[in-house]
Amino acid sequence: MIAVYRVFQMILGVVVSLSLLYFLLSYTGSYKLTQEELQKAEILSSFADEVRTVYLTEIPTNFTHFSRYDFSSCFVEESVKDIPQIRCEDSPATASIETPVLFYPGEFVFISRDVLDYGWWTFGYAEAMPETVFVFSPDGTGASWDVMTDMVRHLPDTYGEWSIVKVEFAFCDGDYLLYPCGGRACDRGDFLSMLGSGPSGSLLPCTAAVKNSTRLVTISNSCNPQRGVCIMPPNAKGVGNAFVAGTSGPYVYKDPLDLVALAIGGSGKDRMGKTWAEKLYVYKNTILAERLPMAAKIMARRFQLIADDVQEGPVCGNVYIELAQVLATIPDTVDYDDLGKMYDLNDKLNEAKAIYGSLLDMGCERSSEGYGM
Amino acid sequence: MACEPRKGQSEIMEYILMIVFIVAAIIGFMLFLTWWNITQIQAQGFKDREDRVVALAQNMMNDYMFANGDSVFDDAKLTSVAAAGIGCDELSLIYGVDWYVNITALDMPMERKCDWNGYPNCNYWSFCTYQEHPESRSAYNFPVNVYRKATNRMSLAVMHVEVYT
Repeated sequence: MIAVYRVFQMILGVVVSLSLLYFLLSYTGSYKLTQEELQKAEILSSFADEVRTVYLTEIPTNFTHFSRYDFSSCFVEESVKDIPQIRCEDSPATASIETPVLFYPGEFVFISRDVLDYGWWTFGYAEAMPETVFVFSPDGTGASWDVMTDMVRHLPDTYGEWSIVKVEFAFCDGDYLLYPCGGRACDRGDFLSMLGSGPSGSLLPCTAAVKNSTRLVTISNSCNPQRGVCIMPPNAKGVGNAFVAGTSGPYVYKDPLDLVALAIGGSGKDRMGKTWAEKLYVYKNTILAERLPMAAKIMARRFQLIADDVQEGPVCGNVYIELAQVLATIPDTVDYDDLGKMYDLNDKLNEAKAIYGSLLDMGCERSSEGYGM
Repeated sequence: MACEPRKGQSEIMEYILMIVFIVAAIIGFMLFLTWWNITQIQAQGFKDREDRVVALAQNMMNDYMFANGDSVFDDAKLTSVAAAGIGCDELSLIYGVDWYVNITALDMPMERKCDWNGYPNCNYWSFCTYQEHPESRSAYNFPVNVYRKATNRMSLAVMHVEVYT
């Protein structure tokens, strides 16, 4: 017969073992989750560092660490008081990212740098995107060709064997995708050369099936997109409307980067039902709306400050004053949904760029190579 | 026969002692793991602050609001930042919060703060507020170039960058 203490020993053993097992399993589970989140935060931080490095060195690179976990819901979110954060919808992991970047998530992303050159000031930014084919469906007019050229110039160049991520370009003609570079999608250089030769006949509206990694960009005077992004060519002031499938309102664009943001984002939606195109468009314009008026104020003061002191004399001084006056009229806040205000802003930016060009021509301003030592 | 309950009691005591020891060992191991993680995170925080100092310097050197490209500061741009009313609140949207930068060009025997009236006979610019006693700080000095627009010459300068928490 089993002694009472043996029964007690067995019951206690079972209870203690189960409790320990439960405790260890739950601790291991939460430890694993914590470590995963820490690693995610570390990867996001590495991404921010990599973007900064590309931005500063202008040397593009591939970022491969996103393949370790699911980062498909990650995006860069602007802040009203601090620098933007990169964060994910399904994770508490975040990282600060001070470099402006048009980011679309993927397992492997290509990071490159580009600029919007206003002459008197340059807005630098990075682009980070996974393997993508931009399929254009233009209406065959010269204006649509110009829009494509403007956009493609500001998209990454992944030419060569070294890049494991490819960003390529093709056309759509009715039910077919046209791969114009020897039956394959083109890299940026070849596609730009092709666009340089002008429109070659009209193409049928696109009805071909496209993959998720494809971004369909229709360029037409009449837009009602069922898929992808549709762009109406700009007016004489360089301002126009773009539409994204699944959203109601038009997106006013005033520079190629607006179109690039919409095209990279595409009409796919996040978990909140917002299109990636809208997210990138809003992010880009928030960042630019912070920096453009700040740069205009600083440069206006700079041109006033140096107008009297330049060695090149009063001719330069007068032009500096003229440029300062134009820059001083650039508004502090910019409403990107207002076509009229966009016309006005673009007029001022174009005028300032032209005046700055004349300063360079007269030798009043120098490129970085021209500094005296 | 009287020995049996005592033997049972002592075996139970042994058993309980062993359980207590095992539980203590497990809890000790968990505490060690937690302490290790916290230490790692604190070390990472320190490293992040050090990295931020370098990043802040690099970003300012390459920002066309301060520089002319190729990491060359422009004295007129540096002077115009404060003259345009751009303060720490505005700059924190680009560079974040809790930092201080000053730049001193080494082409004058004494430090002269640059402002609207003093330009171009000045050689010292500062941005954001220096904190006397922050919780912790990381600071570096960097050799930089400042382009003197009025004389069309380049001056050697020292850029002092601090980041606080």
